[in-house]
Amino acid sequence: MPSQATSTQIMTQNDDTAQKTLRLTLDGRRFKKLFKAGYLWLKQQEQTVNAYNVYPVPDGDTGTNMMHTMRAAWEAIANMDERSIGLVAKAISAGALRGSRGNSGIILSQLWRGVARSLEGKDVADAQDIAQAFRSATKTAYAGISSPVEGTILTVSRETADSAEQLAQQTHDLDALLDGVVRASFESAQRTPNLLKILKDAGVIDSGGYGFFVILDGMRRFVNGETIESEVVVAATRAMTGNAATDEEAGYGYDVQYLIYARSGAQLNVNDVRAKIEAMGECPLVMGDGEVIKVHVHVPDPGVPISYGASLGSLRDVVVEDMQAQSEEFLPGQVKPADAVTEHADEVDLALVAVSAGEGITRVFHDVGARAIVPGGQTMNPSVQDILDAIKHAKAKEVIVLPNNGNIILTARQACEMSEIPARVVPTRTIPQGIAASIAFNFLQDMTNNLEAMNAAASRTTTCEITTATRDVTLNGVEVRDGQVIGLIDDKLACAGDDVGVVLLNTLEIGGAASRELITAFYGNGLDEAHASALLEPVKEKYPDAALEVYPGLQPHYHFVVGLE
Amino acid sequence: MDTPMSEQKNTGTIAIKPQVLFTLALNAAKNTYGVIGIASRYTGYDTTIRDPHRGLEIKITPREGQAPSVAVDIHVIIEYGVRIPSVVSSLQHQISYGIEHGTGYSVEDVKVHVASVRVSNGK
Repeated sequence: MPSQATSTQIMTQNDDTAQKTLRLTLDGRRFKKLFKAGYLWLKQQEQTVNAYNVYPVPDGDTGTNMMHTMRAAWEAIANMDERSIGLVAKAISAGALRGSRGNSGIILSQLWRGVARSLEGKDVADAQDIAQAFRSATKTAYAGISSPVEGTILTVSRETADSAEQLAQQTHDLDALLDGVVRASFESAQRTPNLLKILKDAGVIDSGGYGFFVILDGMRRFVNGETIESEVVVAATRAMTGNAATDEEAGYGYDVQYLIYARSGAQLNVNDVRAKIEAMGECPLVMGDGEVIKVHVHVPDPGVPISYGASLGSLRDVVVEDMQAQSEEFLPGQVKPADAVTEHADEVDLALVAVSAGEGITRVFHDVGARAIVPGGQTMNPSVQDILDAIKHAKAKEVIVLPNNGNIILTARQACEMSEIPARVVPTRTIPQGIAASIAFNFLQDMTNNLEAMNAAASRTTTCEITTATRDVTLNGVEVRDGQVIGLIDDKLACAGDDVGVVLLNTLEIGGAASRELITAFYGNGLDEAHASALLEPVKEKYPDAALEVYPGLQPHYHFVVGLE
Repeated sequence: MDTPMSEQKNTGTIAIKPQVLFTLALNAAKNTYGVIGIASRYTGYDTTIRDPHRGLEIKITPREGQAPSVAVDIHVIIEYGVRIPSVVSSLQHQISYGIEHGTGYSVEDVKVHVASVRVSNGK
């Protein structure tokens, strides 16, 4: 019986070690799980991260942008069953890069790129490797930004890397390392107001840095055995259909409805059908008798329930609707994909691509010669992939991209770097700057001359924006209460008040409208023409020497976007 | 204490029970990094599971023409090794955000009492 004795021994040994397992290495599969936990936790905390916004304006929010970036990365690895951590990290990096939105998303994608670089060629990573990955992430992110600002996600990533290196000297246990870096990132995020005055003034910590902590915290919670809510749902739906695209992240999917008529002589079993359909997707509804059954279900792939139904009997009244397309139609202020995708038959030498917000503004950009429009702007920042698609779509030998929003400039630069068609960015921060730049565009001139003229035109333009504050804040000496109307000049808070008309006048005055020749006003989708012109009447009276042009911009959230030239 | 706070809207009355605010605050505390649990305000013992009411009190004051104001008093146990002021300020933010976002009430005051610090071995 010697063999039995040995096996018992081994078992006791296993029991001993199980009590204090040290995790010394990390492979691709576990890394994938950790990444997912980080993503889902960020998704759950998205609004909390968004709440750390400095400006009380309904902007493209950090939490949302980071979440979308993580989602794109997760989608890139969702179907992978790869043991090598290097390959998983590489896929994450590629996914994050293409799907990144907003400045924080771009920086996050650079961080993942650094991680991937450092882990390249490795099957598993130990504590030293992880510490190096953190360091490499930080270096890559710093290198990607032309003028790094301290007190942001960059600082948090750097201080976290410092701590990871220190911890890797002391321990080989990866769980302990994770615990330590989560702590370091939390404290670093809490310190950001000391480094960046604007955060201190607004009474918040840096949202990007906090988002960085949230991702790591999600991983820690997973390691500690916490279940992160939506994880269960996702895993369950996937297990049922055996189809990875069922991931609730995949969007709304299809709404499928049909009637099954029993073949002559045969009977249908309602309960069987119900069980099968319920396993396929969401909102299942199965009713009927042995003769005919009505089926309704939301699924990612409409083929699955239809072929199942057809195997039982004859199908009638089949309805398949793409719910994603439907929901997009209903999103206010979004440009319908159809508008953005008009096929160009001819190829031109040089074309303009503009990021727009609001139907009316899109039309103006079309009128001033933009070949392709990227829907997006204030609330929903476009991803790198969205801009790449538009560049390709413009059908030109060279392309100039106008981001028209401070939070999209980095995304646009990233897209231009990745684009096969040579593309450059004119860093327009606002819609009026973009329009001024578009007007300066001359398709007979070459790229260099155009860039120069467009940059000059953009910098001559002052932008005033009138919107509603989304929370209380005191910034630049202006006190704002939630719900008040505020005026921004070139993205900086200028004044506040309770009346749109008064704030508009004040903002224009502070913006120096008296010395300008042209005032271009775009009114938002909350105003109609009569209302807008009534509000602009005092402006006309006050500045009789300037030409006032009024367009329906129909942009969301902003009552007025005004350019001063 | 248990009468719902109500608000007259042109479509009808919205009433939010104090228990709702309690749950929001409790959930915010649980989601805050570094907070392990709620402590009893009398004994300081962990009462997260047994009865968190012993360490979490919410006062709602109705105001004329404005959303009611809320004051929160919470006794917590914090993880050993974290910087307590950082965790506390994060907790205050999370609680006031959770309540304001969920109910529209305005949180005027979040008093945090750190009852004890516990060494946890990752559960």
